[in-house]
Amino acid sequence: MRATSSSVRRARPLLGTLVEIRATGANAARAIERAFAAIERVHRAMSAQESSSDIARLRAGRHAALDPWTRRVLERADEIRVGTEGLFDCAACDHALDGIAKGFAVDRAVETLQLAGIGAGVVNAGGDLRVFGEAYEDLYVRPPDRPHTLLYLGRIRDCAVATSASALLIDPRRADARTAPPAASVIAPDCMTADALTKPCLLEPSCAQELAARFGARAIFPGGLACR
Amino acid sequence: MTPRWPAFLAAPVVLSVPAAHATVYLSVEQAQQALFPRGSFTPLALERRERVWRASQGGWFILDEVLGKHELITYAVALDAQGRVRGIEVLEYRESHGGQVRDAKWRAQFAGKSVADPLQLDRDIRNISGATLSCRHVTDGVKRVLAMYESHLKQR
Repeated sequence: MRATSSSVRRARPLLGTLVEIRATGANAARAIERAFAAIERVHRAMSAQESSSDIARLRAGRHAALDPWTRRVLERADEIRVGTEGLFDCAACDHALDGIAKGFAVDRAVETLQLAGIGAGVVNAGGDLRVFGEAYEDLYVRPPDRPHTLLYLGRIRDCAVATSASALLIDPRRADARTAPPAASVIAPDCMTADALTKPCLLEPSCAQELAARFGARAIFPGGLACR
Repeated sequence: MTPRWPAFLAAPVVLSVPAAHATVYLSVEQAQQALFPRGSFTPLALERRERVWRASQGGWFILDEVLGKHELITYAVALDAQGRVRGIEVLEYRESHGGQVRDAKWRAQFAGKSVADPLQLDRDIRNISGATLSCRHVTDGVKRVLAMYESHLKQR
């Protein structure tokens, strides 16, 4: 294939969803290939489904053999647990690491693209997305409780967005189910932070903006604030 | 880095648009070259839903579609000469909501369509956060492709 400076888009099934990467710049196709390789590394290390993953090692108490990237996710998860006063807690929910690993994978893919000299692009892992570059991008949300509609949220630049639904939301402090607004989107500097903050914002919508602001982020409730 | 977004994002969401979109990522030829660089491809006539090519470097390029609850995904699987997956690429993704997938007319629009002949459904809608798309149908499709390899391609 010829080297091109135009926009290239690819999609592959990874992380239990379709991951789409768009990149603009010289050798974009090659850079996207490397970005998918970074996502595959996160997929192998942190998939809750793969028996050979670090999740399985953690469950078995084998911390020694972890991928350094898994350690980074665990460290950041702990920072967010402290910053949200326990509202985000990986240890309390078996699948939480799997959840924020998707955001982490998006961040590693963006980093890989930037290191390859790509000036602008988007990585979207089934709804956890990050845009980079100078251009503003239109942002839509598909509310998890109303999948038939797309809501136009506005334009974003150089930031990440994640959205979670409140169905079966468990409060890690009390280990029981809670009522909450139908969905929360968080716009943050990086995708793992956006990913991690959606659940605390759903659990405590009245202080969501304050919680989010601690991480340079902002919360939006696409279905409104009424609890169900 | 502090994220930058316009102030009006603080306002409640005001606009909703129909949730249908289609994206073409690769043509068949582009997918073949992505999965088998500089290869040439010989089509195989099989009485199967999948379309199969033998790659000049050994191995197989298999084109298939999966129809999910709300989406139609055209994807390709590259198998090496031993039948191991060497890559998967999504060629095209089409999504529709509101029961249209089960609607015969909606399905009929795909009949005879090639990926070189894309539908123009809101192709500019790009950055969608929210309800996670499942890739289970693609994963199941790849399993079916591997079974097809065992039964139809392995002995060739």
